[in-house]
Amino acid sequence: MKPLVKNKRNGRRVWLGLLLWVALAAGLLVQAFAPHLKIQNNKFVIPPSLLSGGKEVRPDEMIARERRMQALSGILTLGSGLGLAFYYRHVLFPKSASKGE
Amino acid sequence: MEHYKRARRFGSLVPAAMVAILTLSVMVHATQVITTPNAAFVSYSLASGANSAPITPVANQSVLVMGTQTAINVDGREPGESHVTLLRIAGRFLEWTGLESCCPGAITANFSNTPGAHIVYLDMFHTVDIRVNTADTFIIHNGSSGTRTGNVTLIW
Repeated sequence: MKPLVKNKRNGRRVWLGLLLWVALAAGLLVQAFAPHLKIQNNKFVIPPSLLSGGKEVRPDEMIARERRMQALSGILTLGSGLGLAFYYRHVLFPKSASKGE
Repeated sequence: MEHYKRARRFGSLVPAAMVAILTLSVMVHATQVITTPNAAFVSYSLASGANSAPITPVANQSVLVMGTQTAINVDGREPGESHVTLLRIAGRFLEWTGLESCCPGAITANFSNTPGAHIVYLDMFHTVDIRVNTADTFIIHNGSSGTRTGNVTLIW
């Protein structure tokens, strides 16, 4: 019975690790696909190419989208980063971890 | 054996450092974006008679629209600066109150949804202006004889 429980635990641990790596990758992907508006003098700079085109420019929506994506990216990356640090604590801090055990 | 242990430890620290650096850089950028106030800076460079793309200000909220023309003419009388506080009632009209560019800097105040209705001049000669495009958008129009450059800032 004991090896079965251990296997279940190991399986869960592997899934948790995988989930954390996927969350980190998702955070980085969201960051990569964000509009990346330039910030200058505490203002968002709308790319001049947008203004010379004929398409309607909506600064409030562009900024809101940038904020949403940055917030999502930040939460995913920071959460998964901290999670990974905790997940690999035995590898990263071998002495302190073994003391605690 | 000791070398193997060291190599293994190094191998685990490198990805950890990479994750930490990536996380920090994402967090720094995210923090900067989230803490920046609602202000948009738009540069324009328009040929004679040209219009910018339509700009839609946020609805049902006062928006400070301030603009300046930066090009300096031979006699130094080309630049200008002006501002209006603008309100967009979605689908109905734009309403504004502000001050025209020098000289003289007269008051400009009105509401309109008529394309081409003048809102505020940006230059000293009163040839480049912000005007109504639709009930929801405005444009920058260059009515001068040459190319004009400048910028408009929206704060809401």
